[in-house]
Amino acid sequence: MQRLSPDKVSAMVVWLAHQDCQAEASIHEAGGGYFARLNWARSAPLFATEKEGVTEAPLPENIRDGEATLADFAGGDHPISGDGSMGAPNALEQVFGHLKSAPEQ
Amino acid sequence: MNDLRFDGQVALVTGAGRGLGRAHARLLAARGCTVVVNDLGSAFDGTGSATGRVADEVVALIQAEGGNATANYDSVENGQAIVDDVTATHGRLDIVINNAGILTPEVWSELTLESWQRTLNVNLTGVFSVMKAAWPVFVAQQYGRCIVTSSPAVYGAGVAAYAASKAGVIGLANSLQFEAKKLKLDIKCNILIPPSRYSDDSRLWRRCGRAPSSARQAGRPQGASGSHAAPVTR
Repeated sequence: MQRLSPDKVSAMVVWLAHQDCQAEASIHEAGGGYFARLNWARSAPLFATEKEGVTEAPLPENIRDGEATLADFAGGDHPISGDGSMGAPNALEQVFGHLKSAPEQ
Repeated sequence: MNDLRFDGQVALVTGAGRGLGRAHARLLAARGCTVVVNDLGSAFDGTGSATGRVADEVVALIQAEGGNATANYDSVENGQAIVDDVTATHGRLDIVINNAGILTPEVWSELTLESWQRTLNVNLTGVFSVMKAAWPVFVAQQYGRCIVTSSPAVYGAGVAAYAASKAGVIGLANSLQFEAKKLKLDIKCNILIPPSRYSDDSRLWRRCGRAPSSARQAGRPQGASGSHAAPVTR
């Protein structure tokens, strides 16, 4: 267990504490000389707000049938913590763009 | 490779009497930082007498290593007292390493509201309290570095109160970073996830999720006590 001694973690803390470090709201794992950065990951967006041109509330079945989309992280993005935009400008723009293009009821 | 130095800066490391906090304090001091070693001196589950002895030991160690350190014994639940001590003693505060924490190793079925609240009070509200006090100092200096200590327990490890508190500090740090960006100041808040198991605290973690039922049936105490030599304070 000596390999996981506390002093193997402190290098990350000391770097994050330095004035040269510009990381913001980053999450870092550290232990035993291993270091990694964690990101948020958002899947490809699933849109289920219209059917045959009519805007309606999404159904649970839309979610069930959208599993492939919701599991598609290659088609998603990475929200950024601390930037005040819900980290989701691209996805939100897509939602609003999608709603705008949908016909009014 | 130029060394990373902290000459002229002051760091507060909470829960620095043992384990991770002690290691952070020593490395910062070795790089020229003046360090305030904060530790209540209680047991790893937050109980027991608060003697401050462990903080004194780390201060003596740092001084023997040629560094500059002072001790503080206040609870992170009283962040203003800690920060007031730091600024009165050293005149500034550049770095806050929020490391103090307690772990009460009850499995879910044994977790009480009292234990849940005590864990949240120290691990989450303690960071709130310290950062609430440190923030005006950071803003006045237009500079600050804040690190919060999360845990792999947030991925799910059989310690619900601890995990909730350690997930909570992520949201808190993100929010502080948002505030700093709003103010356009050189204040950075970041999050550390150290290993869940190091030194001999694996014994304690085994009890959280993997203790054989025979051990519990044998009447083995489930609440942590001072008998643990495990450096869970972080």
